[in-house]
Amino acid sequence: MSRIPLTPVESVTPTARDFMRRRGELNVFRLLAGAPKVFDGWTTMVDAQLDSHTFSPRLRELVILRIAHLRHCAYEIAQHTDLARDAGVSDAEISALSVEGPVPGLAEPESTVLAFVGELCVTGTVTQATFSAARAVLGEAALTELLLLVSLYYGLALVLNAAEPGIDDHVRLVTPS
Amino acid sequence: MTRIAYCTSMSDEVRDMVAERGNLNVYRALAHAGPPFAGWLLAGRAALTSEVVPVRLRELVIVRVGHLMGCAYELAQHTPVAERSGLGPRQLDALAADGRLTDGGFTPTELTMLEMTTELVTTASVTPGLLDRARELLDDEQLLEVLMIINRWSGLALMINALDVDIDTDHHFSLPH
Repeated sequence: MSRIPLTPVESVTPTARDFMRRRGELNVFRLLAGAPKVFDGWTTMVDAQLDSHTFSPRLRELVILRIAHLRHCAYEIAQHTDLARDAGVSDAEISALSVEGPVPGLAEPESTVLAFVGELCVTGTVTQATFSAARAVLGEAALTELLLLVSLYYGLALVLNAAEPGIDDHVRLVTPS
Repeated sequence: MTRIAYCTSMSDEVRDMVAERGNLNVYRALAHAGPPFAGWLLAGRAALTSEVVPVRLRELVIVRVGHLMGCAYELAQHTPVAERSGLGPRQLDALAADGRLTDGGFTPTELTMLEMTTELVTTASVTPGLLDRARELLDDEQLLEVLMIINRWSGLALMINALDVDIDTDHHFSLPH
């Protein structure tokens, strides 16, 4: 039961309706559609990130699910555990993403990227050494795009943890594969 | 010192939006990301032009987030905006991480929003009682926008902290239209 009422799909703006038709009628979207002045701008950002092919679906989902666990965001965990599995993340790797310390069992460049994401989410910043390692494997364009991805899911977890929309029974976010 | 070189090759769309907002170092650093960064700017335009949340409350929340996230850059850019919205030294001192919010002379609504911001940023959640109080003071659209402000500026703080962006010496943030 959401702490803030969800907007019925039939009542959202045409632009929001189109977004949900493409990405899924998720409770998180029905929640945020209750702020129509900012919802369309936010979905434009989400589309731009999900339409980008800079990261493989597997790396993108590893990053998102790691953030979800570090922020203790049950909603993001529910959505992205399935998406991670679809993107080729094994059950053992999914379990490893919930550990407190470094995520074991990943090869490069995933290991370096996940170390960067973990340090950033836990401490609010990264050391120069961590930053340099991530830039070496990603380059500047992908590194800044990674920051935007972290920013999106780190911040969204706060809204979800505050409002607690119910976890969707079946519908999952539609992402490019 | 900013950990990456500033981007010098922006699309026309991005260059115009960055110019409108004052050509700040943070934008010139993130512009490496291309289309996802353009999406982020559009989300920001919506957040900063919506009039659902009073400017003074928006800036109170942003400055509080900046303090809690240890992001001196956000404070440098948003303190002047906060001052123009009517906040004085007494309020700004109370917003500091070691300040006492109750010393700021805030309205009951402002104080409750700042308490919610503090709990959310520091614990990644909000107790049901505090959220219920927030819902008594703001309507759901306003409350969602406040949560989206916390979302955006906490995520932005992570990006700024990771990039260690130099505070601008001769550029100032200007609000988009």
